[in-house]
Amino acid sequence: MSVRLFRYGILLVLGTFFLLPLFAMLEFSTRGGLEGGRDLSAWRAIGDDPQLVDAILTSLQLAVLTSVLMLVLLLPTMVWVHLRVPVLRRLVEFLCLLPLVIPAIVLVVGIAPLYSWVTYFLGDSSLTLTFVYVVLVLPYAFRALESGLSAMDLRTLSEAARSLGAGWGTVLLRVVLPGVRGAVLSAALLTVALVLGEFTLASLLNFPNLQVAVNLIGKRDAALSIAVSLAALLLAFGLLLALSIVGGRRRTSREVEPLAPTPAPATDGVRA
Amino acid sequence: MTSGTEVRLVDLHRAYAGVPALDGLDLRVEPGEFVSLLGPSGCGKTTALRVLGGLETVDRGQVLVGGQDITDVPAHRRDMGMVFQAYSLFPNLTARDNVGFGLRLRKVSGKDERRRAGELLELVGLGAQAAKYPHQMSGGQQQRVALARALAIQPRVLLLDEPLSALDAQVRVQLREEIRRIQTELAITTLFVTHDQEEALAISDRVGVMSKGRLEQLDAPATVYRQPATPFVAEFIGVTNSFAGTVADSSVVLPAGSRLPARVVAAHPAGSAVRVLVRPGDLQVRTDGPGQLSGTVLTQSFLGPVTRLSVKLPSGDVVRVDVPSERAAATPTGAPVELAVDPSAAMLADARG
Ligand SMILES: Nc1ncnc2c1ncn2[C@@H]1O[C@H](COP(=O)(O)OP(=O)(O)OP(=O)(O)O)[C@@H](O)[C@H]1O
Ligand SMILES: [Mg+2]
Repeated sequence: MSVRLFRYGILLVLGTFFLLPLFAMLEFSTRGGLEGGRDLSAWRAIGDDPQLVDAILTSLQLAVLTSVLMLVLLLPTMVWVHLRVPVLRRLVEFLCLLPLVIPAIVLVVGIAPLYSWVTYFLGDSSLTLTFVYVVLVLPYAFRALESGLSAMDLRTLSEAARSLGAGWGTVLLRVVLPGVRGAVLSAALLTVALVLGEFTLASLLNFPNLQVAVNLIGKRDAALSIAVSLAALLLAFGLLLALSIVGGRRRTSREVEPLAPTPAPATDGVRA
Repeated sequence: MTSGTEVRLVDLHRAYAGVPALDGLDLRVEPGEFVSLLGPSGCGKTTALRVLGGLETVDRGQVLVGGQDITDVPAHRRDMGMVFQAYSLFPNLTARDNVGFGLRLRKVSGKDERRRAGELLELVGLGAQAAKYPHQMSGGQQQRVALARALAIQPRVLLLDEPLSALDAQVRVQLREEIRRIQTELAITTLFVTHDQEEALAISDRVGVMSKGRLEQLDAPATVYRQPATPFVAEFIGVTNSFAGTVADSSVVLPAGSRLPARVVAAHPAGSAVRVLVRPGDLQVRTDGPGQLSGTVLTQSFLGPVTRLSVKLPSGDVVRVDVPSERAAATPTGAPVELAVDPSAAMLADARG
């Protein structure tokens, strides 16, 4: 009984801790003018500010571009490492986790000179932020994909497919991708959430993404900036919730496989 | 539907980190023949099969299929059906779609693909399970589907790497007979890897015994069983008794002085040091007089129709003798026994081997 109370207590404290700021944001962004009461004008104004709309579109495009580029770069690389050069696995993991320990400011100092070349070749569109963001999401995407790849018998399945006449491209599209669908989805959603909330790098490199715009607007119209922030937060929350539901479904579907064998160890274990 | 293709492996070498897995393997499989590769763990059976399937490269040597050198052809252009030891069905596809996978890659029309997949599932006895997913099938069923999938592409050669080893004894026997039936029906050249000697002897046209990356003997099952070419083969095929001795006219003199009768051939002139190899079933317990060996029973283990005795000789060596189980009571643990060797069954080998 007391254990249960304790559990609820903890839930309550944590819930308050997370939700209170959100409620405060909601309250503030819907506050009426001098006469008091509720008023949605700040929320309506989101669509009226062309600068803000641009920033939102930029961030959404960045989210999509980053997800795609991350997958195109990371998935084939990881499959290749798993199958062909498993000795490099630790090294790749280390490289992918690096962005987690390098402070953003250091990253910018290192990247800024590179960006003068990027802008020289590709123009100064905010979308060039994609390249830094891909680096930034590596740790999260790597973890998600790694868990997906280790959960399937990648070697046997790809060899079976190849013996049936599949080239490497077909193996990736027809065998690997369906096998790690859940993991790919997680990686993509984590990427989207991270890109939508990114401020430091965009600001330091002078690209107006959503958070940079929110920060600017905050200086002139606090209610509007809070409304946008809350909307972005809720979107990210929604995505993470979707992710945990997808993850949960994957887990239960594995539980209803009483006949599913564990891959036989034998010699192939030596190879793996 | 498939006419057999000849397979030749010529002087294959493959080393991992300096340790040879294949060390000059030569093998020739006739068109339509069923050859088993038998050998202890780590002797290179899987490596040989993977080289043939294009999943592994060689350091030296050639792979010839139908007279054509395919050593450098990538796996997906080799047209070889493979069944693996680990379950290898695509988990997101039904049995039918698994079988149709290779056909789809060959741009077979949807209608033909479904028809052929259906036929093959019938062939392996799973016509009714076509719509099931791998996780809804038993291990034996999954391996049948894997076999159907490998056969669907009408491969030139069928490669089976211990496809039965994850299954229980009864299913194994049933499925191995089925594999043999289908193979005979389609006359498809087949290489079957196993480390179960009974399995290999039961279903093969010829059995190749491998050791340390090379072939020790390649012969019909009865020949491998009756005339093992080397002591290694003899031991692997179930001969567990071996005596060191010296050849003297028509027998072998053991260090302890007793004589074992044996068919002495020119390869072992009188006076040469040899080993005599005898199966437990080719030794008899004599009740009517002295035999060539005497000793005391150490243990009895019941094997069904026969009971295997461990008999300790005065020299300290332990020999294994099979006696009919109904007569095992006459030789309890600790009892002195006299043993006779069937001269036609004793095999001679070089002492070094
Ligand atoms: N990818 C690899 N990397 C390193 N060593 C390997 C690799 N593949 C095989 N070997 C080694 O080569 C040798 C032969 O292996 P192989 O898998 O062919 O044996 P096997 O006869 O199939 O054995 P088993 O009956 O246990 O399956 C073994 O010593 C194994 O450790
Ligand atoms: Mg093997």
